Amino acid sequence: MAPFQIEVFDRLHDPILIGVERRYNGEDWFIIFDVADIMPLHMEMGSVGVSLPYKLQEYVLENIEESWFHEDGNNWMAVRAVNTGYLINRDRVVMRKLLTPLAGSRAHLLSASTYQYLVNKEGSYTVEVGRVKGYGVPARIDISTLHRYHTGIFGYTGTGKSNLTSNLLRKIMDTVDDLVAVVLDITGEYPINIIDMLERYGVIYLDPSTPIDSFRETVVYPETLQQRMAGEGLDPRIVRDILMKIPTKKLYLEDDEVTIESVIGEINSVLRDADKLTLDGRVKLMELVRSLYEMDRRMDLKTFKEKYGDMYQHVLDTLREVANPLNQRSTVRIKLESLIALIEEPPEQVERDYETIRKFARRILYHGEERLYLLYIPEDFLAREYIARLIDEIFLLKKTAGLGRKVLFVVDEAHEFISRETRGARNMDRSNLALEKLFRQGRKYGVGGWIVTQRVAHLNTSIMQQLHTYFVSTLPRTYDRSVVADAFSISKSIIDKVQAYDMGEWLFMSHVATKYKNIPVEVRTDNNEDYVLDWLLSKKA
Amino acid sequence: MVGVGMENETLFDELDDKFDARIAYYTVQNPTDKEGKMGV
Repeated sequence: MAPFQIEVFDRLHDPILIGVERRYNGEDWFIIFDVADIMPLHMEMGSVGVSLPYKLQEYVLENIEESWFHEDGNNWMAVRAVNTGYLINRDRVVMRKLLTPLAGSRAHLLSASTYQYLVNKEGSYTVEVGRVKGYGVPARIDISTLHRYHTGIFGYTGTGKSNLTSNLLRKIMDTVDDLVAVVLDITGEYPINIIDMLERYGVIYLDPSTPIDSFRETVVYPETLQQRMAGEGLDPRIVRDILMKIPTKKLYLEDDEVTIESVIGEINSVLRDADKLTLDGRVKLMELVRSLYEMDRRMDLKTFKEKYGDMYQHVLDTLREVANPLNQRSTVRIKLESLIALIEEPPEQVERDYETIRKFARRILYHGEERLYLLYIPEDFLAREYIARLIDEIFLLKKTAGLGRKVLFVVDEAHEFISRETRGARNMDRSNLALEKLFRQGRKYGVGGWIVTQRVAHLNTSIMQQLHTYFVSTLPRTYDRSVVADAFSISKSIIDKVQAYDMGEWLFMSHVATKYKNIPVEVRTDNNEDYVLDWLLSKKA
Repeated sequence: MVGVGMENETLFDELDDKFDARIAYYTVQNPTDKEGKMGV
């Protein structure tokens, strides 16, 4: 037994790893533990109870009080720690092995450099995400994995979720050059949080009912940033002026473009009135539909005419052959003739200040010069429809027209999109299905997802299982914490530590981003507001 | 105890000299909760 050491006791309150000596296969190893909690004990504490006379209690407690700062050998500390499942030896060879320690074995405090050796990754995609609590050293992770393998950011209101999300987004966009990001925002927090990136390479999309001018006036500022801006003499109008320069468009769900798919749709509607057609006409139209299905159905008719002249002429000839024998007044003939007229004179593609989901998806994957797309859709049921349609379109294009660029979807307030509770929430089924597809199949097609939420308990578990990296901050509900612990196989003793976290402090665990997987990393991340404030000040200058 | 490790980097924290701990018990509550207690 050794004297209580206040210095060690205090240090153990911050994250620290412990190595417990263990001989295994004839070699000396240390089983790595992560400290969960610590308790100071004194040999006389057991005698203090409510029935002990007050004078005696006072005498005992005075003795105990003195003991903590004078080594009298009567006190000790109990440290509860969780096995990380790793062994390390003196040459820093690391082995994944869940080995049971033997009672009586000596335990050691592992150093900051050992911690960094276990956690920090080196490579071209490595960035510092913050400083490790306790050790104070940088935590360096492979940020590209946060796109390739999906990420979850969980924390109660006020823990700094959108701050961390914006900060990580900036780091990943700066590091992974060929990545584009789509940020889905229903609260209006992101225009200010990522304003620097929007100005450099972003476009803002609004649903048609949101007036562009009023959107710029109603941007939500984090309270702390607002105070700091005032402190620096920054007029909020600077934000509005910058937003004016960022391209802002309205996004429509319905498509207005005439494509091969539109032609197929029209022919199919004629075929539904099959009794008005001759057998020969029916067969010709069905064959036409079959051959059109083999083409890129998203191609507009002008391109079709220019690039596939023979096929284009064949379509016109066939339609005329079917239409001509029909009665001039028949609705089927009128339909076919208007279709022929449309194909003969395809409408010009004009540049508009609004966009449809279909064009937007193509812009994201193939045509856009921008890299960041902010979708501000304040109505949750509409936002669910938008995200479902957009993800479906992106996957269809990736599967049929080419992979295009890598895409990262950032879904803030994710409980509004992937809740298991679908009753009464319009379009929840659709957004659930689309996001499930994203999280299950995304990796194959270069599509990643981040889900950001304060309410973990009712999230779609199929999606939760696909997350390889997660950041967790304070979650006051026990049930939320136990869901995170179960979903990611984290010890409840470790997850409960987040209750004491301050704003900007996160428990970070990853199967892919750290050198050895699932080593708990407790970090204080950089403050996104520092960056935004400096950037705004540079704009003012 | 003096830190041991590669080159100038030590395996153990400098406070380890003052941390004379031993494992007291180890329980397995569930497959993800393997806890040990160290008394000093």
